Amino acid sequence: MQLVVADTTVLFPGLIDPDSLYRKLLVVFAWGKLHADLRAVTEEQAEIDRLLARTPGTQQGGHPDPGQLEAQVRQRIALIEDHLPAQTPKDFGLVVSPPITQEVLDITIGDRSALGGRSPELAHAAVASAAAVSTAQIVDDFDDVPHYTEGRDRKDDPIIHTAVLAGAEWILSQDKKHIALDHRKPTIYADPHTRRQHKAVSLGYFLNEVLCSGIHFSVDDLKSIDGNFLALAVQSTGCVNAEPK
Amino acid sequence: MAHVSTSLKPQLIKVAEAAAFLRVSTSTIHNWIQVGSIPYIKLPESGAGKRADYRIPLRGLIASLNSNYDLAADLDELASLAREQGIDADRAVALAGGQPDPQD
Repeated sequence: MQLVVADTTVLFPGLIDPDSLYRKLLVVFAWGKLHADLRAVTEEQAEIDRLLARTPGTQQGGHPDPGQLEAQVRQRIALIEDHLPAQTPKDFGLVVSPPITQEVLDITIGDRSALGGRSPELAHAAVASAAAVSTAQIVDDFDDVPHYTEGRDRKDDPIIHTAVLAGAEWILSQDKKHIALDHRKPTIYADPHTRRQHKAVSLGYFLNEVLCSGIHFSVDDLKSIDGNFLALAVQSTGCVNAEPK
Repeated sequence: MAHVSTSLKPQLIKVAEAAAFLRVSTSTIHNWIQVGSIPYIKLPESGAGKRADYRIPLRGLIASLNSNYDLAADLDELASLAREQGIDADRAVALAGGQPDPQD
């Protein structure tokens, strides 16, 4: 699985424009997430079982439990697979973190957005949608973020830190002033501790040189994806969750 | 220590961490627990009068979002609202502080 951190210059257009390449990319990430979930459900139940065994008196509750999750995932895959190009990659996963979810919230309802203030509920749904297509989630540890951008924009450092914490190979951004500085080649950021490298690239570079660079999946294949399939990937299947909303 | 949930590393997180991640209040998370619309582990109570403590499977939490929101309808509504405001993908990139690639 190749993990990808995308900032709001990629996530926001993907969330609001179903006809854009950004949205089609989110469909590919959702497709990767479904397959990762399928592999992960048994591990999550094992983690829960360990906690239950370690601490007498603990109780498991709520929906979906890992068994229900597996059924949901299989149903979503069945709903989508006939509509995607046969060789749509399953091994790219989106990473999200609190700084990214906060940025999605800000850009959806904040002062910078023409949607500004129109619907806080929709802004929260935008956050939930970004989270719902993510394969990996970073939940904390953004108090002491190194200066990766060397002072270009301190607000962008948490985006790169997300990639470092997740071990993500790619950082996808259309921010050419602060993150992905050259659309023709990656901007390299290194983990100060491990020296592991993380490559910040523009959408065009990522599509042409990474996602669609093989012989089996082309940019035309990506363009043929209906962006509305993102809704299929995240909608309630209604098959196993009996609890009220 | 960062909680990283991937296909290889399932995580059980605290209520406050779930709230911070999804940018909702801890009350929202507790409400979801009360109605059972997210998966949870209830830890044994540590004393009289203490609020019950929970751990939430992160992957299960993410999977539950479609039942706590109507994400398909919300995505449609976001697209409609953006169209109404004349915001296409390129404008959205600019609003977020970026610029489209020359070759896009």
